[in-house]
Order: sequence, then structure tokens, then C-alpha cells
Amino acid sequence: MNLKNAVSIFVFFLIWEFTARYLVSAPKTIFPPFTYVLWNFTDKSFLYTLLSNYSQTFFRSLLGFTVGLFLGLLTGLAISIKRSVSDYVSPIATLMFSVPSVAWVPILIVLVGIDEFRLPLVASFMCSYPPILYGVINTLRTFDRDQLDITAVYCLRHKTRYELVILPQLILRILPSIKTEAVMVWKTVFVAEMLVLPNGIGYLALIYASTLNMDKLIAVVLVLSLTLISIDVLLDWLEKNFYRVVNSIYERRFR
Amino acid sequence: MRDVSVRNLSVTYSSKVALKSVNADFPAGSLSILIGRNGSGKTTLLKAIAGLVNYSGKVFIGGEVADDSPPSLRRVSYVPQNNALIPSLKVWWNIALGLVDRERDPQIIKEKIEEVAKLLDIQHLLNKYPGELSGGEARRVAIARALVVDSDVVLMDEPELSVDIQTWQIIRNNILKVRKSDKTIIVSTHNFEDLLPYADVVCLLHEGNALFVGRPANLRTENMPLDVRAWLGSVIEADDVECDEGDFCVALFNGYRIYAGSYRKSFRSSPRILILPKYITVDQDGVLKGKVVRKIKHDTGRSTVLVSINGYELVTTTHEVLSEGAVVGLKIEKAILLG
Repeated sequence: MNLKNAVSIFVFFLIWEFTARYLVSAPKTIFPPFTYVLWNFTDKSFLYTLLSNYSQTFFRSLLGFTVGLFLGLLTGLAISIKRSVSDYVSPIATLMFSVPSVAWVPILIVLVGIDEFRLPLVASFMCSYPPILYGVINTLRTFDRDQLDITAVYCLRHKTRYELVILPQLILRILPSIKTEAVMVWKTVFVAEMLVLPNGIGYLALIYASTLNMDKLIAVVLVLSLTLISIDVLLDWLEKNFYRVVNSIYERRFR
Repeated sequence: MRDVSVRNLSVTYSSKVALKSVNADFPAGSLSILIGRNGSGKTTLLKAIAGLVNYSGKVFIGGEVADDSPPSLRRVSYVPQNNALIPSLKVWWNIALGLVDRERDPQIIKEKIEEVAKLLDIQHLLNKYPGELSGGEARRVAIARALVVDSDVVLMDEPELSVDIQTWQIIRNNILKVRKSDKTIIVSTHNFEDLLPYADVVCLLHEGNALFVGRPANLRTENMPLDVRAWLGSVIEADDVECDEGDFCVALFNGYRIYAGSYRKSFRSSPRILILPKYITVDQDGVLKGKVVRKIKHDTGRSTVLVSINGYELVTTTHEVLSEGAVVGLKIEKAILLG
């Protein structure tokens, strides 16, 4: 974050604080100033509640997303070995990919049931699996033919081909999808928790909304927002430094 | 050293026939060049030898049938037209690609890469990414990757592509350096005038057929299709050749002296020279006089005509409107000495 970003955010919070304190006639419980929201983070009981629910959401999102990511990669690679199979699977993956992630939640409530482990896990899986599968199949279908020829000539083992040539480029090509879906997983789990689950930050947000604890509700939303920004920044950094990261891994392994 | 032979080699891409029953021999340790227009089958022939396309017929490498061997076990190196450097790998790793599975000792890998980088003068590029290289640098890296592995056969697809003249001279010199290392080199090229004087074998492909395979000195054009001659030029027998310490040669034809570039091989008493259409100009002041035998084609104000001189037929293009039977003067700027 550069100075301009910092100034812009500071000014935004300043306007919020000023508006809530002096311009809006609504009670502070309905439109709390920014400092009221910040004050919550000094409250140990709030912090405990927030952290315990946050860890639930974090675990659900991470597990479902990771399983979806790896299964998407593996099945995509397996399907792409046979061009004819990928021709058949690609339209299905496209169809699944085009369904908005949040739209899976009501379907899964019926199909999976209101289960605090399975429902968010399947929902986050459905966020990551179809787009990753779609990305892998389409990337491998359009992979540079000459590069594949080169690996066929120079690499004796399939492992080397995938490790040094195919996988790094594949991951880099699908990183924008991974970034979008990693954020989407959090949003979907948040919605699922808000709708039917008894814990998680989505549930917490709903509770604070129904009890008109606006400062706490905004604090929860701020935490969600910061998490999504962190994911975006982290994956953005990875995207920009991907070649460097990959090469340093090889340096350690082979040289 | 291993030779390469192909027998009745045919390749079909969906409905298009790319190679039609091609037979060719490329002796061990030789420099062979594949020439032909775009789409003539040069790249396909290289890929078939490397085992990168499905084909019918036979490919022999070192006298053994290679048809069932995967590309990685054919002991060939391949430099594709677009270099195909792996963008995610640094130059060092791009060159090491063929060594990772073949050499266990990292120290040996390092030494081999340093050696080939020195040969091609790319030591300063080893820590760069392919995206940071110029066209010529990328070409040299692709060649380094081909040379670093212990292969017997090096296949290069149009190494002159997208490089400037100076870089091409460096690459050409490197090809000639590699030739001394006993590898069998097969190069597909459009820039054959620079490699023909050094080539042991020339393979002329036209619409998937091999019109000629053999020593350049045996190349004849008189019976070739006119469109091939309009592109390739005409082979004539010179009266004599004078060379200045083997580096600067002049061919004598009909009392006319034609610059024939450098030539490092011995040639017979009446050597053959190849005259490219681009080096012949119709000029009424030209000392050589010929008779227009036939108009081959005419487009956008330029005519391609066949001119007969002393029983030889040369192809040239001109802006002048010439009728069949007209006597014209010719100037020949340059010829390629075939030996």
C-alpha cells in the first residue's frame, strides 16, 4: 500500500467519523462512528467471540477451497491427457462454472442438509472446483504445442515435464481464477452461515444485525473485508513473483 | 556419430498430405539442409525424425529403426522455429531441461551449461527469463539447449527466423562450430545461400515431395517444375572458379566473372553454380546476352521469364515487358558455388 492509498483510506474513515458524529441525526447505535467500531477490538469478550467464529469460517473456506483446488487440478490434468475426453467434459465444466457460487447455497441446503460441517464445505468446494477444472482443461487445450514438443524431446520422465514445464505455466494461467474464487469462497461460506448455520462470522453478523449491534456488525464486516483484501494482495504478489518463486524452488531442489 | 535415413516417409495432417513418401539419407556427422517454400514439408520432416508427428514409413537413426522410440529416446535435439523457451524458467533452467533426467551430478550439469554458454557467448543471459531476451539471444539459448544434451542428431527449424543479419552470422558460425563436434546436423532453412557452400547434403522439398536429395554439387534444376526454378534459381556449369585462399571465389561463365562468395570445399574443374533469380537483372548493357524462351508468370508489374544462355535456362524477374524470342542483356550479381 502506497501513501496515496493510506491517505485515501484515512480520509474515508475521517468522513465516516465526522458524518456519524455531527451530520446524521440517527442514534449512534444505528450509525456508529468509526471509533465506536474500532473500540470493539479492545473488548476481550467480543474478540473471543469473533476469533472463535472467524476460525470456523476460515477452516470451512480453506478446507473446501483446497479440496476443490487440488481435485480440480488433478481431474483437469487427468481429463486433458485424452483430448476426446476433455472435449466432452469441457462443456459440462463451462456450465458448472457459469453458475454463480452463491446460487449453490440454496440448492445445497436442500441436497446436503443443514449440517455445519458438510454444507459450508460442499459450498466452498463448489466455488473452487468447477472454475479450476474449467481453467485447467482450457489452459491445457491451448498449451503451446512447441513447448510440449520440447518437453517430449528433452525430458525423459513425465514427472519432469509436469514439474518443470506444464504445472508452473498452468498454475500461473489459472491464478487469476484462483484469486477470484478464493475470495468468492469466503463470500459463499459467509452467506451459508448467515442463512442456516449456528456459527461462523456470517452467523455472527446476522446475530448482531438482529440485535441492532451495528458497531459490532460493522466490525465483523470489516474483518471479512480485511481478509478478502489480504487474500487478494497475497495472490497478487504470488502472481507477480510466480516465476521467481518457482525458480527458487528448483534452485533448492536441483542445484 | 549416427546417420539418419528416412524411407517412404509420409505424414498427413487431418486431410492435408504434408509429406509424400520421402526418401532421404543424412550421413553421420554431416551438415544437411532442407530447402523448400513455405508449406513444402521441411518442418514436418524434422518433426517426423524427432518422433513428434505420426507418420507412415520408416525413420532410421544410427541404422536402427526409431519408429517405436519416443522422442526423448531418439538421441536427437530439436530447435523449433519459435524457440519454445519455457517462460517460467530462467535461461539456466531452459538449457538444463535436457540434463535434469540424464545427469545426476549437479556439478556436471553446471559445467556442461557453462561450457555451452561460453560456446554460444550467452554466459551473461543465464539468470534472465526468456521474456527478457531479444530474438537473437533467445535463438542462441534454444541452440544451447539443443547442444548441451549428448545427442547424436541436431534438428534445427529455420534458425534464421526473426534474427537480424549479424545474429544470423553468429548463429551460422555456431552451426558450423557444432558441425566439427561430429553431430549430424539437419537444418531447415530459407536462407540457404549462406549454408549451401558448407552443406554435405541438400534436400529440396516441394509440396511434400523430395525433388532432390544429395550432394549440392549434384543438384540440377533443368528438369524441375518452373515454379520451383522461379523460387530456387538455376544451376549452371561454370567454366572455372578462381578462389582467393579459398575465401573469396569468382566463377567464370561465358567469359563473365560472377562473385561466388566463400567456399571451403574442393570443387571439380567445371563446378556448378546456383544463380538465384534475385541476383539476375535484365539490363540491356549486360555483357551476357540471352534469349527469352518463355514467360512464366506476370503479376503486379513484374514478369518472371526464362532466359536461355548457351543452352542453360536462367529464371529472372523484370519490370520490362519482354516478348518471347527477344534478346536481352543480363547482369548477374552473385552465384552460389555448389562444388
